Amino acid sequence: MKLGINLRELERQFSLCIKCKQCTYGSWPRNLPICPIYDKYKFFTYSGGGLIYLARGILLGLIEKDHYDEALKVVSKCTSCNYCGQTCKLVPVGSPHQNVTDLIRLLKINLVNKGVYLSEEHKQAIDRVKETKHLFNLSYEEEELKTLKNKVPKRGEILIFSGCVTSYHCRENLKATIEVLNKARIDYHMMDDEWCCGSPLLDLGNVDGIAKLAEHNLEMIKAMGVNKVVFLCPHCQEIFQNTYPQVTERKLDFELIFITKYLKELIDKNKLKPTKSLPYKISYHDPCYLGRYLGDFESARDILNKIPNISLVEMERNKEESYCCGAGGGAKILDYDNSVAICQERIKEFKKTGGEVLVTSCPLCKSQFRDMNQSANKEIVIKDSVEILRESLD
Amino acid sequence: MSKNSQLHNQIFNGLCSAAGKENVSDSEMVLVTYGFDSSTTPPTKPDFVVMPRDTISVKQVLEVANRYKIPVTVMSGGTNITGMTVPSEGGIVLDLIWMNKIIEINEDAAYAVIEPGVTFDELTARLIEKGFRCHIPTAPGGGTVTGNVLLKPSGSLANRHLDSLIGVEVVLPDGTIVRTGSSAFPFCGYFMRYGPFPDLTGLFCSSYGTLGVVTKASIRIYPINESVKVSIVAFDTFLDSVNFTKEVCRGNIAEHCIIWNRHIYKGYEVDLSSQNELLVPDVMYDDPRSKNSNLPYNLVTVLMSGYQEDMETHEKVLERVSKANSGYIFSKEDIETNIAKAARSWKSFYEEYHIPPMDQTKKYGLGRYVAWIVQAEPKSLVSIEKEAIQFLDDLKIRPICYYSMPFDYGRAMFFRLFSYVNPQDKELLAKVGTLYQDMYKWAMKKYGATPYRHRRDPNNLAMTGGYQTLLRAIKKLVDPNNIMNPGITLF
Repeated sequence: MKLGINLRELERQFSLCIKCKQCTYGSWPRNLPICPIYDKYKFFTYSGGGLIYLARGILLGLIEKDHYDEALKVVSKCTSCNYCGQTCKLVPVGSPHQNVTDLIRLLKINLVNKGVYLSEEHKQAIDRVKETKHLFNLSYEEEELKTLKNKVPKRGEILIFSGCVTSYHCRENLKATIEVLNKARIDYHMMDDEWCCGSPLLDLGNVDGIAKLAEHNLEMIKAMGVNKVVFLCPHCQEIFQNTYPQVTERKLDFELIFITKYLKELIDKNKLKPTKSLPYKISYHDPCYLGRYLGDFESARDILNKIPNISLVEMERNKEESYCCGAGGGAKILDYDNSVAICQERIKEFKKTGGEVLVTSCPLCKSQFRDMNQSANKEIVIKDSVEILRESLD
Repeated sequence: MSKNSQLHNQIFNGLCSAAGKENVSDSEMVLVTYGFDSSTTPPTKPDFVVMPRDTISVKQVLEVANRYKIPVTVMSGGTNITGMTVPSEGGIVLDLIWMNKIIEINEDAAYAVIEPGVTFDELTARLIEKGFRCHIPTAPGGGTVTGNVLLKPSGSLANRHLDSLIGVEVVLPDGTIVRTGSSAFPFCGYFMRYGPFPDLTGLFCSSYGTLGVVTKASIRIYPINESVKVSIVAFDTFLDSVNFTKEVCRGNIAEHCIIWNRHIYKGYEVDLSSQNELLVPDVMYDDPRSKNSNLPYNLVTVLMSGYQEDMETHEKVLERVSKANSGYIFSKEDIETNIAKAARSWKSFYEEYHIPPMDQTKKYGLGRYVAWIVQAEPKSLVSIEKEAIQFLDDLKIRPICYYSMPFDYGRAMFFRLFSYVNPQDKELLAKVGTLYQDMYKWAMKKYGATPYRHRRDPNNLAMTGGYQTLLRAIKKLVDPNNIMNPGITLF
């Protein structure tokens, strides 16, 4: 996605949508509803195509400036799950590649650039990331995190990029990762001063702060001399991969790999042996950013399938046609109720499988499910795939 | 109508009572997105969008609309490229997309009763489970079956069976509910189009929502035959293609045929990743009549289906008739080398009863689709094709695409000519608009061809004499306040 692009430049591309709504449902003949906002709100407006028509409406002058806040409100219901981006074959064109999800993100950026914010919290979150370099209002150097990081070998050519959500809201994921890597006797580093990757700024529609964050993180990586960066959050990897080269005009001269793929490689090389039997009935939730953005639907499943006695049951909507957890696209900040409703739909689908443990590989999905689960008296067990792997190691 | 006016609020409340609050919107953003489509029809925001869930809701919405004399534009999803569902007079958009129940699949009498929001993807998926199929249009699977059949479909079975529609349930503007065909009688199903009285089903075809709202449709379904085969036959002239098509259809060899010209079938193959998407790809820029290319002038896709033994005979006959008309059957190698993507799409269309997500229309310089569609007798069409291409060529328009297919065993032929014009080139768009209007007049006067669909040109109906008088009388009777889709300027 080309960030600096003006909506006007995309007018011809916007006009390709013929309202066929194939951006909303899964492949024939199952035809399952996938777009979470069309599924919930039912009007065409709330779909990939509908949001494109909204952008066209702005370009055609059908939406007055004093209604831009309403437009942003509608756009912000989109959780950037990328189903429309992956599915629509009509609208995406060649380089610079803009698929439907990109167009929706650009519409949001365009509106926020005009000074439109949905709430004080929306503005504050943007300011916080820009000023403190972190998404959450917490001190990065707090004791527990420091203690955890002390277990990192701090040598070798691999860097673990943790990300804000893992570091602050899913620290158990980080703990599990460190334990697993140490067990495999891997040499690796973590940054002492890891900054937010910038993905929340993209989600919140303010992109001018991303370059600074990217420059810092890339400088740190360069200084550490690593040749491989392992990501614990797919949102971080996505922005590194797809946006950093553009905003910094730098070529990334290191390999980017997601933690599940990396751990799967270690298992294949016999550096990790998941031998302990875990008689869990698991259902795996595909994170949109790992699956539809980064194209990895299998590595976590491969790990889980290598663990003795685990029974993996699929939810009806899975892999390319997975249903969003509701947390992406800044939805938790921009429209919390919408985010909750989408998550409840996904939890309902999980329950239908009869699974005991809901496993995912994205800290944002996990924290979203956990938040919903807490308000539902912790009915279900929610874990990251790395946590499950750690349990199975003797 | 001012949004905060008392009248607006009264109507809004009335619509909420009729269809349920969650199914009614007057939100500015919703109204904008229902106010236009990908065509050149000027945008107009409706005042309300209503998505009823059942026939009773439709009836009550129409009663509200009639009470306040506000226009109603009906759609079932609105998938189209020609501005048919733009609410040009404002008022209510009645979107039936969530009336999407498949009420009955009658395997014995081979028909399905569906609500108007059922899409082709939904219906074909259910039919296939039962070993049945229905006609498929050259349109995305997200389009609705009822919307399509009411517009006189040009789909995969229109050669043998012409019309898929058996009967309908319609809510008239005053709220009266009418059922047509055999289902007009109590206790009778939708199995037969024609009863002992005049056929009223046809009254609602091509009426563009001006006479009532269709809330159920009964459509013909067909068993999937034991063997299905799609052949592709190449010709160097349109005349040969038409003669071949007539012969194989009338000889019951082909169930259906489509004649494609070079610009259109090559469109499937263009890889946009290596070129500037704002330019027309080179392969689309040559003169479609030139013989420089080693690719055939036309390709004809031929659907054959039946028992295995039939197919073996059909293939032999097909080869003979192809040769007799100076054509040849495209080999597997020809297909792989020249039209691999097109062939995959056609295979899906004919053999899997499903159109995969379409992408070829974006391959013409991101232009605005502009189409000219007529129906004519076969011999006339051969002349029309020649001259119509010349008309577009005179405006230096590229690409020049068309496809053509037989109706009713080739008694009539359908012809869709289209191109893609840079939407920012307003002057050219206007010129093409004027040219097409002139071409409709020319094709009728010179070749007896009629427009395939109503194109918002009120002069068309005015030409029809007694037909017009009768139709206007019916319109006045059922819709005295002219609330039903006045923006389409049929009446």
